[in-house]
Order: sequence, then structure tokens, then C-alpha cells
Amino acid sequence: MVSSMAETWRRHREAYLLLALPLAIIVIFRVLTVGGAFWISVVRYGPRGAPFVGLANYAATLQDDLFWRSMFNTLYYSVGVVPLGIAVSLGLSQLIFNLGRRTQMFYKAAFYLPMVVSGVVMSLVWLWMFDPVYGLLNWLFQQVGLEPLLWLRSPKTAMPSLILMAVATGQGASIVLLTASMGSIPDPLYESARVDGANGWHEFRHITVPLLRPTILYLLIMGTIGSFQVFNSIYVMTSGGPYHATETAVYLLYTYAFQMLNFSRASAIGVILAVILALVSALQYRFVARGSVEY
Amino acid sequence: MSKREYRRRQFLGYVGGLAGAAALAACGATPAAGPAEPGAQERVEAASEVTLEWWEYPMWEGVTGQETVGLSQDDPKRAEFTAADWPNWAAAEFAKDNPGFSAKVETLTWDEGRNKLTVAATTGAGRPHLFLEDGPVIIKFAKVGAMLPVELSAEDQEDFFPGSLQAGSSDGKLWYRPWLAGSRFLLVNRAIFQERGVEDLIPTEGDRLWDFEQFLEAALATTFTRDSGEQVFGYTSHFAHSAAHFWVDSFLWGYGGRIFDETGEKCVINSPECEQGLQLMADMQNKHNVMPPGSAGLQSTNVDTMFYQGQLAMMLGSHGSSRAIRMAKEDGTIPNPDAIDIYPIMFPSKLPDIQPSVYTVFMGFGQFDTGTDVEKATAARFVDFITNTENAKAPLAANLLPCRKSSSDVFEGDEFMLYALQAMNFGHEDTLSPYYDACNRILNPMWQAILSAERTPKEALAEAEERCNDLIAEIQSA
Repeated sequence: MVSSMAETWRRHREAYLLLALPLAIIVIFRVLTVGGAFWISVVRYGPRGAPFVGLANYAATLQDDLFWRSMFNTLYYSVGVVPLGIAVSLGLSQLIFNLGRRTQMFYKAAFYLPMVVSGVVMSLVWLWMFDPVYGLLNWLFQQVGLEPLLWLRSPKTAMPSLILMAVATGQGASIVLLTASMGSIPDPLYESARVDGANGWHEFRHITVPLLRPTILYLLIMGTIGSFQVFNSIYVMTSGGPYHATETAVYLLYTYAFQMLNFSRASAIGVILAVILALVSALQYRFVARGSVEY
Repeated sequence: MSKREYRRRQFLGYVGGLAGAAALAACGATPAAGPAEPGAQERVEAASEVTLEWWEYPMWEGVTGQETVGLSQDDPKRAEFTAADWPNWAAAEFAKDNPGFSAKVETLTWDEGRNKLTVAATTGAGRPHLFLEDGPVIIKFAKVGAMLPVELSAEDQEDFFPGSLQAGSSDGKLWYRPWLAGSRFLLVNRAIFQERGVEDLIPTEGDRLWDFEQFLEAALATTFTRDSGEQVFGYTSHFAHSAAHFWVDSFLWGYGGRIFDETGEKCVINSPECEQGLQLMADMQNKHNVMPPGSAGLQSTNVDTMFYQGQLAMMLGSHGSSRAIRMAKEDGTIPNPDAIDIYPIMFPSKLPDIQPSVYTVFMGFGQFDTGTDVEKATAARFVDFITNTENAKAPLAANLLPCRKSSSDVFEGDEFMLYALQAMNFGHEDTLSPYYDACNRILNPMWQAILSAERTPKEALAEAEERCNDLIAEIQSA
């Protein structure tokens, strides 16, 4: 056993040594920081010292009404943004995929464009669009005879407004991935289906979507992680309001850390969020990956 | 793809180089902080080189702030001037009498500066020797043991405005040297009052005081729709901003309400007086409709935009409003300069029984407990220097108010700034509570709940008081 390990080391030591540097970077900048966050969450962190307090920060967090409200808001946002976003991306990808190559490129670039614009700039533009008195959306509503909405300025409509913005501007990467995956589905599958009398919807439902499952799974997991960590748009557009309606877990973490100087509570929220995300991702993987179609 | 082969010696050379660099970086770490020893002052003179780290907010560009006057925003000449010019100039002036002295100035951003300071204060890592901040924020840092106290001479004690000293004092010690001040009040667009023929509703005598009925009458008179279909509102301000207390609190204080008791350590906001103030706000939104719909979600940029476009008759004003509006007129942000004619007045109150109160802010230089004894002693002397009578006038470059009586003669002829100085007399001691900022984190969402009719003022106040006192207890126990 030992001699086998020694032999492996002898044969591959340059490779191991080359891997040592990136591994060290991962350990220093990922593992240690995550470990540091966990350590801060079990102490009372301050410049005079950091006495160990066990799970007290977790207990305080779990008893905090605002934490549960922020978790509900996070879930609300994720459930709104991720499935809706994937559905919209799938539909748009299907439409784009059937176009000519140049037109495809144009639409992919057009949908990807918001992704390269700073989130803060995008939020400022949408702030104007959402303005109840002077904004574009209410003006459009008035043109078609609809009642104006308060959008970000009412606790009832603020979160749906943020979801709308995220879905409308955040599908660029998904469309690029989905159209690329669609290109890898073998044509004979569609030809056989057509011979059997399948129409466009049947092809989409029974061939395209099942064969895109790995890409959809990837989008689902990454989208959920991203939506659980939403911060920029909330920081710029609503500051978590009105009346906590858009206060998500990461925004609450920020306020605990930088407004209330309670880094231990903030770290406890971060650790809880990480555990929840890991569980959600595992569940998604289990359920969506099950029954994957191979071809 | 061809593989690139590394020779063992070449590879070990790279690894050795990286390890050496890491070791060198580690040698540059800041020495551990400790209390100043007696006699350190004398050693300052003996020390040949002292470099202090100074974190400063971007207050103005150039040394006097006049360098950029008349230059458009896109004029390339602007690049010659930065917010570090005055700090660098001050360090150079101090170095004339203190050879070997230098300061390494880092300009913070307004968005993230406080976060950065907070991290430095709470973790102890990378603290600068001196920095500029609000008095109550510095007290917060002092409470976690991050600050060095300040000693004032009897002459200075007399010269600083009492409010400025109070704002940085806690546990019988002063934690900063006051440098600049700011006040809040109401800003009226007289052009809209003239347009409606109701200019006589604006108070103009003395401290420009008025009561709530007069205020509401003015707001109603200036809420209207122009012939073009453009909607104009009498009053609003930012509720979605974390600093909504800049103006909401004046409505509570104006009815005689208080947020904290005399000790500043207990929240007593659940009172009939505070309820009256909040009920007026709710009525202005939902009954009188003098505020734009959905004011609960208004950001300060929304409010500024409405005011600049002549769609808002009254909003929150401050010592900086005059300059901001002048610049907005110059750079075209205000599309029709004639449509904006600003005039500062006081927030309403229940006159004659209750005088109005406003939010006031005092900023000064604090010294972190960091560096060697020589550095600490030098930093103390340098902070004395940058807050002396002459240097206390420097913030006027940004239209800010001085904290020294001896520096206040510079506003001769500037009616707006004279009124801003006058408004400093209406500060309220609630703002000096060490829990003021922390509780506002709870209170601001309550105001939003009232405006959006999710809570009645009574319900919101009961919930707010309970939660604020829980938070205070939690902070105290920590």
C-alpha cells in the first residue's frame, strides 16, 4: 500500500506539485474563508476577543421573525424567478433555434446584452420604468386601459416587480446554453417522430425538453443558488422595503453585518443559507436528474 | 495539444519564489496596537519618519474646492483635482513644522466607506490611524474598544458648538475632534408657490416656524395638475432610504414625541404624540393625497428628480441643498432653472407649545487604537492641527457647516447657509442616543408600513417600541 503510494508519488510528483498552487489558492480563498465564517458564527465576534458561544447565534437567528420573513421572501423570489425564467428561456430558445444562423446570433446577442450591463445600472433604469407616476410601465398600462400599479412602492407588488425584472433581463446565458444544447440533439430523432405523426409541440415536449434535462438541471441549480443570493437589485431599488417586503436572506445578512455590526449573527445566517442551498441543490439533482434520457 | 514539460529545478524555483514573496508580505504586517505610553509625545520630535494612514470621505475636489468651479462635469481639467487634494495639502502644511511627517490618504466612497471602517473597527485589521466619521458612529466604534479618547484644551472646549461635542461624547469621554456639521430642514420651491399664487403661505419671519395646519394648507395648495397633464405634489420625501429618519422624526418631535427617554437607552416611541405625527403622514398620503402614490417605496433619487423637474413643492433640505441645486442647474440636470427657486424653512410643529426639532449631524476625526506610541501621539497632534480655527473652515468648500464658533463668520451674505447654521439650534437629543442608528433599522420599515396602510400608526408604534427595546437589550448584553 505504502509502496504503491510512493510509486504513484514518484511517477506523478510534478503533476501533484503543479496542482499544489491552485489547491493552495482554493484552500486559502475558499475553504478557509468558509471555515472562518463558520467560526465567526459560533463566537461573539469583536475586537476585544471572540468568546465561544456555541449555537447561540443560530438559536437567536432562528427565533428572529425577520429571519423567517427574509427566508420566505428569498423562497418567494426563487420560486418566482427560477421556474419562470427557465420556462421563458426554453420558449425563447425554441423560437430562436428555428431561425437562420445570422438571425439567431442577433437574438442571442440581444438577450445576452443585459447580462454584460452593470446590475446597478440596470436597476436604475428599471427604477424609472417602475415609477408609478412617471414610469414607462404605467404609461403602457394606461395606453391599454389598465389601472396603474405602485410596483416597487407597495409591499404587495414590490417582490413581483423584482421577479419581473429578473425574468425579463436575466435569461441571456440560459438562452445561449439551451440553444447550444438544442443543436446537439440528433436530427433523426425529430425525423422519426415526424414519420410517426408528431407535431411541433409533441417534438418539443417529448424530444427537446427530455434531452435538454441536463442543461435544465444545471440552470435550475445555478439559478436557485443565484436567486438565493440576490442582493444588488434589492440594495439599489428597495433597500429591503417597503415594510420588509423585499428583504431577502442575503440582504438581512448585510444589514446585520454592516448596519448592526453583528458579524456573528450575519455569519450564522450565511451558514444556514449555505446549508439550505446545498440541500435544495441535492434535492433538485435527485428529482430532476432521475429519469434522464440517454441517446 | 503539446504538453509543456517542467524541469524539477525550474519548478522548485517558481515555488521558492512564491514562498519568498509570501514571507516578505508577512513581514509587512502592521504591528500590534497597544495603549500610548507616557513620554511618547517627546519621542515624536525624535522620530525621523512618521507616516499616518488617513481615511477620508470625498468631501470636495481641489484644495479650496474653488478649482473646479465653472468646469463642466466632462471637462478634462477636472481630472487634475481629486478629493485627496485638501488632505494632502493639510499633511504637507503640518509637515512644515514636523519634518519627517507624511500622511497616506485613502479616499473612501460614500456607499462603502462606513462598511470599510466598520470592518476595521470590529476586526482590528488594517485600521488607519485617523478617519472622518459621524460622532455617534465613532461612539459605536468606541464601545467596541476600537478608539482612542480625545483631550480638549479649555479654549477648544469653549469654541466648539456644544452640540458637536455632545455628538461625540460617551461614558464621560470625547471620542473625536469635531470638524464639520450639517442640519436638516424643509426646502421649498417658491416657483411652485408663485405659480399657485400662494407664496404668502411660506413662513419667512425669524426662524421661519409654522404649525402643522399651515404646513398642510401649503401642501394642499401646491398639489395640482398642470394644463399639460403633469402632476405636481405638495410634499414628499424618501421613505425607502435607510435615512428616512432625517425627516420623519421631525414630525414626531413636532408633536412633542420622543424616540428615547432622557438616558437615550430606552425606546419610548409608543406615545400619543408620536401617533399624531405618524397619523398626519398617513393622512397626507392616503386622505389628502398631497404625496405621490406609493411614497413608502420612494428613494431619495426619485424625490430629487421630482423636485428638479418642478413636480414637488416641498421636500427635505440640508446644508448641501444649495450647492447641489446650483450644480444641477449648471450641468443641466435641472432642465428649467427658472422653475426651481429654493427657500429653506423649518419643519412644522405644534406651535406655540412645542418648538420644532430637526436632525443634525456632526462629523469629526477619530483616532483608531492602532500603530506605535509615536504614531498615536503624532496622529493626535495632527488631528488638533486639521481641526484648528483656520482648517475648520475648509469644509465650507463643500457648503458644510463648521463646528467652531470662531470659524462661523464666513457665511456673511449667504442667506441659505446662514439659515442652515440657524437650523443647527433645533437639534434633538434623540439623535445622540447610541441606539439611534440601530433602532432606525427597525423604525424605517414601520413608517413604510403606515404609509402603505399595512399597519395603523398605533399598531406600528407598539410593535416598533417593543422591537427597539429588544434590540437595545441585545446590544447591551453583547
